[in-house]
Amino acid sequence: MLFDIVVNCLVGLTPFVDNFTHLGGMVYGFLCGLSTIERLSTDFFGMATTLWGRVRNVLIRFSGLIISVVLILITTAVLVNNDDGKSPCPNCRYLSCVPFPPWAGEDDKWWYCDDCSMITADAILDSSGYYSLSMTCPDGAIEQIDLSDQLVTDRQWIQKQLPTFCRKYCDKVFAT
Amino acid sequence: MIGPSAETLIRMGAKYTPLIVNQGEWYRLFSPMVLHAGLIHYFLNMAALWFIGKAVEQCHGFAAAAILFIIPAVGGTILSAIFLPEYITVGASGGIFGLIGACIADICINWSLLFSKQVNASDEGVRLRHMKVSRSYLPVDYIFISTSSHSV
Repeated sequence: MLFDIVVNCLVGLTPFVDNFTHLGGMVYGFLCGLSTIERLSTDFFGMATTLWGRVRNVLIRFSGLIISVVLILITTAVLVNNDDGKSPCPNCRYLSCVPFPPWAGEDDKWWYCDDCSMITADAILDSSGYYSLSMTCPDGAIEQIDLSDQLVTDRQWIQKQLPTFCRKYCDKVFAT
Repeated sequence: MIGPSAETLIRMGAKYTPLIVNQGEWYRLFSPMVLHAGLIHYFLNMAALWFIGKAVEQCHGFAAAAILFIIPAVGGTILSAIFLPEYITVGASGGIFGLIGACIADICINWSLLFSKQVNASDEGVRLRHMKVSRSYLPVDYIFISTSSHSV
């Protein structure tokens, strides 16, 4: 079962799968489970229950419910105050998506986690080919890329290279 | 995924942080647990819910299963709304993972019974068999769940 959870967390690191819902759900489920699932008495099997053991069980049961209610209140308060549409912890996104595999080069990973796949650019055309690109980064900034040393004439090649350019030249690769 | 567009999902009540926080549409924290992004997503999630939900409900009762589904689903949606504000999310998998988390809690608090030899001879064995059932289904479930809770 641990193996399954680990496998699922790894699958959750791909884009399009929201690991925060999964992990958050699991944590809340665990906490609520501590309170709602009844503990079976071990007395039945001839093992004595000490006073400390009973106090501890009650503590565990109530703490599960209390912690989950407090967590929900805190996260709701954070959400209410978060009215600029930005994550309070931008790097926390890597809990849900990590570029993979780490050993692959910057250009041939299996998947990416940025917003570079849907950007646009204007190519400035010269009689001998595309000399420069005016690329709109995911955050709206505009980057000028000089292509004069490559003498590119192929429009499709530029289209294919756009995400690479984005990752290379843009300061911010996320839309928010 | 054979399903509606992102605009349709937003109109139906998908999680989308700007609408929740700035427009005050707080029902969007609750509605994603009954929405799905498409037929495949729906059937995979429902299959997982069928196996895990059945085991948990038979074991712990309707009320416990409802609590263990709804609270984690809402809590997971809130977390997702905080940390992934730009994504639109639907899916019941927060609640399904809540049920899985409850199975883990079950195993933890009844740890001493798990390896007891007398258990199968007694009444308590019924519950333990359910626990085993829910555990034995998990590998199957994870294949289902891994494709669930897509951001669109």
